[in-house]
Parts: sequence; C-alpha cells; structure tokens
Amino acid sequence: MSNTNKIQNNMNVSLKNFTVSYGDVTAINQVTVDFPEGSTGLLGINGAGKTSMIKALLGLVPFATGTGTILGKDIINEGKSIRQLVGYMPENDCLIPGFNGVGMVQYAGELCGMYRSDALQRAHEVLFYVGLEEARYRNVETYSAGMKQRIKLAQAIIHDPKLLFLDEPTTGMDPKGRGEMLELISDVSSRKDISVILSSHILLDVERTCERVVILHQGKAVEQGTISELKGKHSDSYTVRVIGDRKAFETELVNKGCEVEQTSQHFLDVGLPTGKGTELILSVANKTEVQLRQLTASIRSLEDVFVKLIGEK
Amino acid sequence: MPIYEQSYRHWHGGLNPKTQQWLIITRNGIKMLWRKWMIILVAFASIPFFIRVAHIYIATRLADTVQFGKFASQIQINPELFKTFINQQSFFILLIVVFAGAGLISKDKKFNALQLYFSKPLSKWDYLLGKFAIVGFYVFVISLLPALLLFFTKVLISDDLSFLKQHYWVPLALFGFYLIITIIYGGLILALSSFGRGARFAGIGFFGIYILTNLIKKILSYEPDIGIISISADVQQMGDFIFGLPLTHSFPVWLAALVLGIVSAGCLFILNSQVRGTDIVK
Repeated sequence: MSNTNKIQNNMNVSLKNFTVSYGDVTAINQVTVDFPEGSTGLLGINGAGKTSMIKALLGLVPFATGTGTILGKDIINEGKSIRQLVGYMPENDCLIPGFNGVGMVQYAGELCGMYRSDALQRAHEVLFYVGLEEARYRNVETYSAGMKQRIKLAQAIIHDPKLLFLDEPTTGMDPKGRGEMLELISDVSSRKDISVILSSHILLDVERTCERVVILHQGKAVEQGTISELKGKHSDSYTVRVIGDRKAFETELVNKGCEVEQTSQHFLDVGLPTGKGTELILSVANKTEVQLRQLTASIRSLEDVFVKLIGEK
Repeated sequence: MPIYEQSYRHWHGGLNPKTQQWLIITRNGIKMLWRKWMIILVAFASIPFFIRVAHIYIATRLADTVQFGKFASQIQINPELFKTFINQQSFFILLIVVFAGAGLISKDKKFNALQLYFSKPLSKWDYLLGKFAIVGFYVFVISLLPALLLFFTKVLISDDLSFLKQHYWVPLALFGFYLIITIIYGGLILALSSFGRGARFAGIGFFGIYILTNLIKKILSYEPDIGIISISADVQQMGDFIFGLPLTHSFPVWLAALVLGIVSAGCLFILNSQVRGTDIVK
C-alpha cells in the first residue's frame, strides 16, 4: 500500500458539509475536508474560519449543519469521548486561576479522567518537557506570555492525546521561544505518533512543522494536500525577464493561451495553459526575437501557493 | 533504548471512564478557597454552635441544679430551636456565599478558563454542578452540619430515646431547609458571578438584591403580601412550612415556593446562557 493510500484510510478528522454560523455571519461554509494522520496545517488569513472550525470540532461553539468524525467518533453524539482523546491549545491567553503550574496541569489531567496521583506525576513530566521545570511552583497568573503558551501546551498533552489541536501556538513568543515551541510540536507530531492540527497564519510555522495543509479562505476550504503536492500543483506559472520587444512577446503569449501579468518594470508572471511546459515560453521568445534573461518557477514556497490562492479568490 | 529520554514520552496509564468531573471541580475549589479568610469566617460562624451546645447541655443535664435550673427552664428544645439556629446563621451564610461564590465563574471568565474546561470531557452541567457544590459545601459547614450536630448532641445526652422518637424527622427538615437556602443563594451568586469578569460585581449585586428586596418589603409593609418580593422572607416562609411552624409572613407558602422556583429557573437560564466555551461577539 502506498503512503498516500495509507494516509487516506486513516483519517483523524473527516467533515462533510460542515457549517458554523454566528447569527447572520457564516464562519465556515459547507466545508468538506479530511485531516489524515500526521501533522496538518490549517492555513488562512485572520477571519478565515480556522479557530471557528477547531472550536466547533471540540463542541465549544455549535455548528449549524454537517456531519463528521474525529478519530472514528461521531462529532454530534460522541463529543465527550472525543474530548477525552484529543488535546487543545487555545489561541488566546487562558489559564485556570488560583493554581501553580503543577496544580493546573494536574487538574487538567484529572478532568480528562486521569487518576490523581498519575496526573500529578505526569504533570511534572510534561512541564519538564515544555521547559517550565523551573516555574512549576509559581502561580500561573504570574507567568509571562511565553510561559502561558507553554503551559497551554502542557495541559493539552497531559493525558497523552492521540490528536492535538494547536491554535496559533507561537502567538506572543519571542524568536527563541517560538523556535523551541515549533521544535516541541515537530517532536510530538513527527516522532511520537501524535497527530497535530495546527492553525496558523504564519506560513513558516506551518511549513516547518506540517506535512499537509488545508487552506481556508472566507469560510471555505480552497485547497488541501501535502505541501509538496501543492507546490507542484501550482508551479504552472513562471517569472520571466526579457529584453527586446516585450509587447510583442506578451501578445504572442496571450494568443497561445497564457495568462500574463507584469509584476514589476522588468518582470512578467506567465501562467501556462494546462498541459504546456516551459517550451512554450521558449518558442514564443524565439518567434518574437526577444532575449530571455530569466525563467524561473514562480512558486517556490508555501507562501507563494498561499498568496496565489488567496489572491485568486 | 536511552536511559532517560528527554523528548516527549507517551503515558501508558489508563483513563477512568467513570470520572465524576464535577467532583474534581468541587474538591479543587474547596481546597483553593480554604485559605486564611475562609478559615477565620468559618471559625467565627462556629461560635453560635458552641453556645447552642452549652444551652442544650444545660437544658438537658443541668435542669435540676440550683445554679442552672431557672435558666434551663427558659430553653425549649424543640424543632424550632434547630430552625432558629439556621436562621441565626443567616448572616454568616450570606457572607460565606459571597466569599465562596462571587469569584467562582467570574474569575474563570476573566482568565478565559472556560474554553480549557470545555475542551476536556465535561459538560456545562458538570462544570456548574461542580461550582455549585463548592458553595453548597461551605454553607453546609456552617449551617446544616452544626445543626445536625446539635440535634445528635441532644439525642446523645438525653436519658432515653423519646426525643429522637418524637422528632426523628428533624434531620430531614434541616436538610430540606439547607437545600432551599443553598439552591437560592448559591444559584443567585453563581448567576451573578457568570455575568462579569470580576468577583466584586457579583458580591455587590448579591447584597444589593438581598438588601433591596428586604427594603421594599419594609417600605411597603402596609401591604403584607408584598413580602413575597423579599427572597429571604420567601426562604423563611418555606422553612416555617418544612418545620411545621406557624408562618412568619401572611402570604401563602405556595406563592413563596413559586417565587423561589422562578428565581431558581432565572438563575439556571442565566447560567446556561452565560457559561459558554467561548464568547461569541455579535
């Protein structure tokens, strides 16, 4: 069985016609999407519906229509058992007041169904793991922004979940802390068989930690797949620099079915028609007798794919 | 295999499927509130209990003595004594309800803790029951518990079981009265606590409602039935009814029950709408 097929058969989250509305505002609109095992980035600009999707999956906000499963359990009828199997790290500042670090994480473990002594032992373990060993006995209300992010991760992994929802996990962290947080996420997802759904608008974070992405825009899933698949899929456009009769070159390209856009004074972005390769650009250059000084694929990073998709919409 | 793996380690223990999440919330809440000021408050609230124990002992064991005979004859040990004891604890009950309950939900809202709670396998009702039981516990400690201890003190120091045979229903009545007090005052403080992000609002709001409704009752005393507006008067009326005592107020018991029922339903409605995993900005 190929790796892709294996992934398809092991869906962590599968949604059909999933809609989340807040009154008249539709945050998620009839989305059908699958999140297989492994790490998946949920990408989108602010307001795209990333947080709403995660919160609706956890039952924190009601969803209007749709069906779905998480880890094989029905999201409508088995919310409680789903929440026992997953961990959630919310986006905004949140903590349970009155506790010190160990107390809060232990409490989270007990709420997940862990026995008291187990939860205490495990709380120490995960606090070491997230780098809060020195601050374990400090009141959580005195924690810095970065420490709050770490304790949110600790309370999410205390019960060793099978699936982890991380909503903007690097918000408010300094570059060093951000790097460490991404390292922790990579460790958990790539080496420890915990699937991760990471919501972020920071493309570098997603590219660094995830194998797959789902791109949300205005409440709809506009693209999904592995990062390399997406880069390949959208690499049908090229950045071209020519010297000579550029007008004729552009006209001929358009006549051949290409989409041409001038990105700066000297550069053109040329989108090729389906099934055509760079030979087309070379032949047009030859025909219009222009010097081709540069011909490079426009899509080089996830950011390029994202910008292209969101720009199109 | 490494001797000590510093990266993430799986946890191989089991999860208890029968976990009562509300009990965990209650246990932690009680523990967290059991600090200096709460201990002082409970200690002060215990003073009337010891005075009553002395009364009961004198009335039961020292009634025939020269020194205490006259004093003992003035003490009537009957169901009213136990109900009156809880009435006399009202001041402490109000204080403890505010002290224990005002910050229970508002602090969770202030620190956005609700989304952490509701991302765990617990329902809104687990959460609310857990919080309610914290208030219930502290009200129990200063009202029902000492009242029951007084009752059993009387039973234990009596020469025979005639008191128990005659008043066996008193513990049940005490429990019923305690339940009414806890549901009404506990529900009210939690509902107020769920409104804001600060405990102060809930505390002031609670005393405001308590004092205002009593004030209206006093101002409009020429119209006795207006007494139903006072929550404490309604609670007293229900207490009189449960203990089979003559009613303190002129309005019927069913009306008091109706008002208290409406208050409880209102509190539940508020709690249901205010306690959510996430705030939805409209």
